[in-house]
Amino acid sequence: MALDHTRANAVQILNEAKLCQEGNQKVTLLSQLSELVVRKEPGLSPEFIPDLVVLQLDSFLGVRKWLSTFLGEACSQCPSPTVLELTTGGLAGLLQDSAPGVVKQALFSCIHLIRGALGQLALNPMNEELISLMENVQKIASSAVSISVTHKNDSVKVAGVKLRENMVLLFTAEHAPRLPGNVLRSSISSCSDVPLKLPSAAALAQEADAQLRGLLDMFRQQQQAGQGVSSGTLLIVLIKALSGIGVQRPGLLGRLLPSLMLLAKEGGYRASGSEEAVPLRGGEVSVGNALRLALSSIIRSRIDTSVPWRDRIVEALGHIGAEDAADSSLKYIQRQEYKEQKASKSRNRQESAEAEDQPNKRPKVGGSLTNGIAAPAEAVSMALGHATCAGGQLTGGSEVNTPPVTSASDLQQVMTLLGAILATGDRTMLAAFISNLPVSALADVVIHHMPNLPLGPPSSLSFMHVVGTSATSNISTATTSNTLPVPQHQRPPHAPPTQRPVSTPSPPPVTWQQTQHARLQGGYNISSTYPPYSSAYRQPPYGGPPPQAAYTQPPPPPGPPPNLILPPQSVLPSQQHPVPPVLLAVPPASAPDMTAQQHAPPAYLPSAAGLVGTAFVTKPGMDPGMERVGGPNTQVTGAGSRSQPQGHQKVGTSVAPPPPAPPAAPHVPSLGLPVPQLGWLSGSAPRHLPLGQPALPKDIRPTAPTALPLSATAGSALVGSGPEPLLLASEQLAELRRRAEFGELLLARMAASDPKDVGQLMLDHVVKEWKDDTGGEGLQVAERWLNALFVEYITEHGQQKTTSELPSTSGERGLGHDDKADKKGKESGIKEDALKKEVDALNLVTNDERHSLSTMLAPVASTLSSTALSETPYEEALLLLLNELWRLERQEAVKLLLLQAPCLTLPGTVNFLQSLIDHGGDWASVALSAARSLIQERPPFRSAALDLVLQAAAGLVPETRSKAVRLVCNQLIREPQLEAAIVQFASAALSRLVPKSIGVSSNIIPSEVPPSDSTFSSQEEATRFCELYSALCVVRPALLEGLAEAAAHSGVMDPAATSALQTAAVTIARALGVKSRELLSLVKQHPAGSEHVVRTMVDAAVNGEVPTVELVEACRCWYLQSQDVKIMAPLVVALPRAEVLSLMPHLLQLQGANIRSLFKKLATPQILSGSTIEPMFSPSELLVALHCPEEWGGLADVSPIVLRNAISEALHAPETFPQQALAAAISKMEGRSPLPQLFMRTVILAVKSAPTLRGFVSELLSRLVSKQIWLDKAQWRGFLMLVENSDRTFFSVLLQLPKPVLEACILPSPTTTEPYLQEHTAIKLALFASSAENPVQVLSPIQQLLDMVLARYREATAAASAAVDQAVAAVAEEAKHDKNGSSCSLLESSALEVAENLDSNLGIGRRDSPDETDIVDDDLKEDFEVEFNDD
Amino acid sequence: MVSKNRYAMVCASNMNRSMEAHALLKKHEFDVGSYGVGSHVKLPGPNQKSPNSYSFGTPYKEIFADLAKKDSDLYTRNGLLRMVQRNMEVKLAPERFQDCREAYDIIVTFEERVMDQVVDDLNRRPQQLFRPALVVNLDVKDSHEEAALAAPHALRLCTLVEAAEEWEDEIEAAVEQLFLETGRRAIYTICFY
Repeated sequence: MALDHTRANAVQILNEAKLCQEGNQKVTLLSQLSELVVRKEPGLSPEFIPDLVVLQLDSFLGVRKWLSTFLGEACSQCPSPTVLELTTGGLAGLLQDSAPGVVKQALFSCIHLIRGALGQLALNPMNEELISLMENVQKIASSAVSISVTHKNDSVKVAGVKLRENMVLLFTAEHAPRLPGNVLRSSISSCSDVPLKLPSAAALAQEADAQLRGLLDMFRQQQQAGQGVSSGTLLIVLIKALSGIGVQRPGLLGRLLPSLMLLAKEGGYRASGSEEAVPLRGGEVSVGNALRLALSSIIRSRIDTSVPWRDRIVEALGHIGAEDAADSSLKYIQRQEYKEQKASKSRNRQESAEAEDQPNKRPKVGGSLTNGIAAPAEAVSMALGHATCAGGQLTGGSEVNTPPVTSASDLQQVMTLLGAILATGDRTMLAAFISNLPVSALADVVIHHMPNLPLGPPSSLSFMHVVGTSATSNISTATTSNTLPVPQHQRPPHAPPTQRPVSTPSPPPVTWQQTQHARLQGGYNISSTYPPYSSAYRQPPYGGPPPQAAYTQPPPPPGPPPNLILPPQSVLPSQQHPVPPVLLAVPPASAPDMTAQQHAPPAYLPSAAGLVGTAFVTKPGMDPGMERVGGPNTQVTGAGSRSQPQGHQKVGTSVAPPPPAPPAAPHVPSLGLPVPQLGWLSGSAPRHLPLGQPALPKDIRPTAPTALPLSATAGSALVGSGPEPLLLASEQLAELRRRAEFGELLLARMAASDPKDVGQLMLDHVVKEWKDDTGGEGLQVAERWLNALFVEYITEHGQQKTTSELPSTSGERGLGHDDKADKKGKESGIKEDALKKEVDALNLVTNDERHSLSTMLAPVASTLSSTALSETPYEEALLLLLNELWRLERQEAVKLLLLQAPCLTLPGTVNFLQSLIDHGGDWASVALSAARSLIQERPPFRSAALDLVLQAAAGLVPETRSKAVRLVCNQLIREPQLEAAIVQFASAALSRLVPKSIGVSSNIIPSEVPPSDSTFSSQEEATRFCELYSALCVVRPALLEGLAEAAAHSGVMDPAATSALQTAAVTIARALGVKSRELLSLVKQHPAGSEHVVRTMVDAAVNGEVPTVELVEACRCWYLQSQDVKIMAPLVVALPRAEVLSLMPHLLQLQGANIRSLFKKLATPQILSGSTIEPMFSPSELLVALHCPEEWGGLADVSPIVLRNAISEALHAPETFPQQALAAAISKMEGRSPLPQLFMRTVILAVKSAPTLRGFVSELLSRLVSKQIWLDKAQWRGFLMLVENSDRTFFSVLLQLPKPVLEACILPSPTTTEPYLQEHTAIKLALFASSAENPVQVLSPIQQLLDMVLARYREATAAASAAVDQAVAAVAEEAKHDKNGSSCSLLESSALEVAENLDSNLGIGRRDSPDETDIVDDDLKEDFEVEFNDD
Repeated sequence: MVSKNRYAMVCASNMNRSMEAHALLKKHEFDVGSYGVGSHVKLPGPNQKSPNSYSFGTPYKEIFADLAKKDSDLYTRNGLLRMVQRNMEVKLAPERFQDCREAYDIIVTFEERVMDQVVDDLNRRPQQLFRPALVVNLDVKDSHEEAALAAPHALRLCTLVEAAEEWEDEIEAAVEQLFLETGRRAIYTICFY
């Protein structure tokens, strides 16, 4: 009903629009129409488009523009095939339009058209009509791109770039675009939310490649066009397009970045904020900004492919003057990484806590942890976010098309439902339920069941089939190895060898997924390996052999096998409803009635087929052992479980009896789940593919999503990690691990005895197995290796050395352990025991035993000299490990190894740590942290490590230096043993600021600087020598004296050093606060020459705090003794008003920032110690007081110059004296008689600093005129000066003057001594009076005066013109007789001379000399000119 | 006159600079809106450490009443009340650009930081319309005087853009022309809805 109503309305509007002759009205009607048929009822679009398309011939531009936009909206809102087809035709015509606006909109609409067509084709890839439609759409798009490239208008080119960018993104996405619109949703029902595979990805990738090349070509052309020629607009859009593609498709980044960086380097563009950008035009800076944004966004994206480019991108940003953007981007990355690490640690801790709370609870989705050992990170990542991983890393991070990860709650719901259905034993319901699950959810369900998958393939592979081959016995090597991804080192040594095929399989056919996989792996450079577009659209979508001629066999992917191994058909539950058998194994937590079995070992249930008729798993309270179907010799297939040698078991028959207890031999039970699931999980073959059949049943072929949303590599990782949880879940795990550890022990021994050959192997193994948080197996193996080397060294050399060195070093095992020295000394025989036990320990394998070994070796290690192991295999191995971990950026690992190693060697380890510190950044933090631990835990290293930290605390890199200083001041200084050394170092560093002839030089501070004469290139350089000391002053205030002693030499110091000291003093004072006794003591008694530093400290300390009475008194004493008023200025807030006024003559002598700060303290509210203190003066009061010193008794003590300077400072401090205060002060002074001497000067400066006061001042001048201000000569001069320099603002006031006064101003006699206006101002005034701007009625006497001025001006002009003409004529005449050819220059110079004289003649002798006694004269004139000229 | 482009004036708080320009453009019959990008609307308070802060969407009328209630004299003197009163005549309440879902053709910002936030916000939005938007920045100090000076410049720029058949073809020339006429350098970029 509503639809009919809408249709009727739309028809009426359309008819009205057709009849309408006025363009704008027509567009209005058409907009209403599009509201109805596109937004309200998109289903009506197909009906109306044919009638609307004819509007492309409309003469009115707006209508054609509207049509272009309308067609795009229709495609976007209702992308039905009909609409798309009609739109294609319509846009083809509009693209030929002569108006650029129409073509531009048509280009944008093409994007909607392509999206719609692609989405439709993805829904039904085999539909011939859609294939044809897609071909047409692509033709239109290609045509549109061609038009845009050659078009003369930038607007069209910009749209073309956007079209190309979207084509690249759409054609390289992992999935087809989602289609909105009611029509579509109703047609695909429940599948609408499932991402669909991109149809004919190969051909589309080829097209994308071409478009990308086109974009790059266009970019290069613009780049080569050079500045001033290329269009900035187009260049900006190109830059944004390329960077957008690079970020969303990381595989393409390598092709795009060089062009962007080249433009940054050679384009000459600069980003705003750079000094070099100041003289550039806005367009050029805009391009620079676009480059800055593009490069920064690439850094910030943190995509893997951008990492190798990072340094070069930073360099490129430097070229455009955007170093700050580079810095902030790098800091952003660091922050993000830190947050992620923090979140990861938090998550791990939470999981650990949960695991401790529920020790018997089975692991959650993904089964990452079993028996306390972590599964590979890839598996966890896969379980938690496989889709994101796949989309982000492999296919270019298409955020839109990345398959969603099923939320935990949804997954739990699905699992519960599955358990319930399984409990009913209704196979049909189960199949129906699973077939309706979204693929992403199904994948997560499978991942949830990963622990239930078998460890390896069934012992008999005779039941396996290879997809695409009919011979079930042909199993490729690749397939077998990939479906058995148990790493070699994880396999039990005595496990049955993997059965490998004898015969060579026939080459596998290229499947759809393989094609996709190859495309992903190939980084989209696949144009050479893929068929042309037209043929590719006609290939079978799934699995079936494509036309051989159309494909070139891509290289075999490194991940999953191309073939799929599945059980034979006869044992599948149903071909029509292929239920993944893995789902038939119910996890304990998911089945409703399994609660009683939650604490049981992993249970494995039979398939649904097995359940039918048996209700095997539904019995509550059943013995968990009963659930284990498929013992060592059984295999569960899709049809149930059976004993392998005995062949098949009928569907629906009772289940085999529970298996016997696992044998002692660690045979991994094949727990009943067929291997093929791993195959389709990997994405190597479609899930619904029946076995051995070349074609799929029609009803399941294209309508449902058939591929898991796992990319090939993600699937491969999943397969690779899958068996590990199984291994760990095995009951035989303990035995396996014991044997594995035994193997590692042997490997460690071998590596120790033959480090060259086995060392690299060990290294790889350690790094691979290292877990950052705990070290994990990697640390254990490394410890074993180092222990072995250590013991070997001791066995060969150590006995004599340790015996001799024991007395000197024994007992130093950590700070605070000195009391144990004697005890340890008495245990000198421990070495022999340790050696013996270590040898025995080689046979120990448990963690506890290994820890005891480390503990046992520790005292031995501590007794060794740290240099004893230098240049030994031990040191070699240790440094090898450390460097490898460093190279791999395993920061935590480096720190852990340094702490856990049996012994550290002094030169090698110190050099290593120094390298880390020199590297800076996070590595410096790691080194400093490690050094701190070494100081505390390894006494032999204490001195060297402390030296490292102290050197860093005076190092060149500010960031590292700051970290080291914090470490020293927050932690190390608290250790009594270290304090003296630290203070000594800091004092020595501080003394470097003092010239060598005065200061104490030391050799313990960094040697590279400073120069012998203690000169510094910058404050930063000087800061490094006082930073540590100043920080120490905060924690040890007694050191302040040392600082003051150094400051006492500031008179002979380098200015940079003085400045650094001042800065340090401010920091210290703020940290100590106003109540510091040490500061008070310093004020009372300080070394001569250090006054400025102490004053600075007092100023900083009282900032925001109420000064203590003691401090005020001490400062007062200082002032009385030295008459240095600067010490009192910071304290005025705490002084009585009378005292402040008495100090005022001296305080006003302060200059610059000091006096502004004083004004602020006096005239603005102060927040001291958290409470607001009302100001002593209001701003206007203070201003008036400055103008009228006689009112506070300061007239005799303050010179006019001091007052004038103070007032100037006040007028330049709007934060203290806002314009309202100025106005109020002027108003107050206006009423005084006589006016304050500096009154008019202040008015002039007020107008300058606050132009909005002009209205106020205009009224003021009027009042002054009424008060006959011309009688006060000084003020009158200022009055005229103000009028003269304010253009015409105050002319209307002049016109109010009495005639004699005005006449004296504008027509002064040559002998006048009264102030007057310049002649050009008088002329301006005369012109103004007769212009329309003049709001004042001019009286006739005044007008006569002004006419006289104009007449005189005209006469002078005429005379001057005549003089010029005469001069020119004379020169020309003279030039005729000049035979040397210099007439031109003569002519020019003469003419110039005459012209210059013209202006000067107009005002010759008109101004008398200024009055020497007038205070508003030269200075004011100077101020006035400077300030107004600046404006 | 009905302008063919839609214009947005954006500053930090949608109070001073953007509203000054909004009022002027509205007076000249441009199709214009105005926005702020900050988290709150911040106005000067009795001192620097205690500004007046309001949520976006708080009607200007309420802001006016609140300011008048707090210290009528102070806010009259510093021009705040007059400014808010002016705003009341232009539209109902300050709006936040990040919350706005209307599409504009030309977005004028009055501070580079504001421009960055506008561009960042537009880049974060999913592109659905593929409709280009010009973002132009004029650096203007946040004071009554500067805002009053800059508003005619913004008007001039918008007039130049409006005169072009397609702004993409003329924006570079318009920016240059504005610089020659006013000495104010505009910086621009292009985003897409």
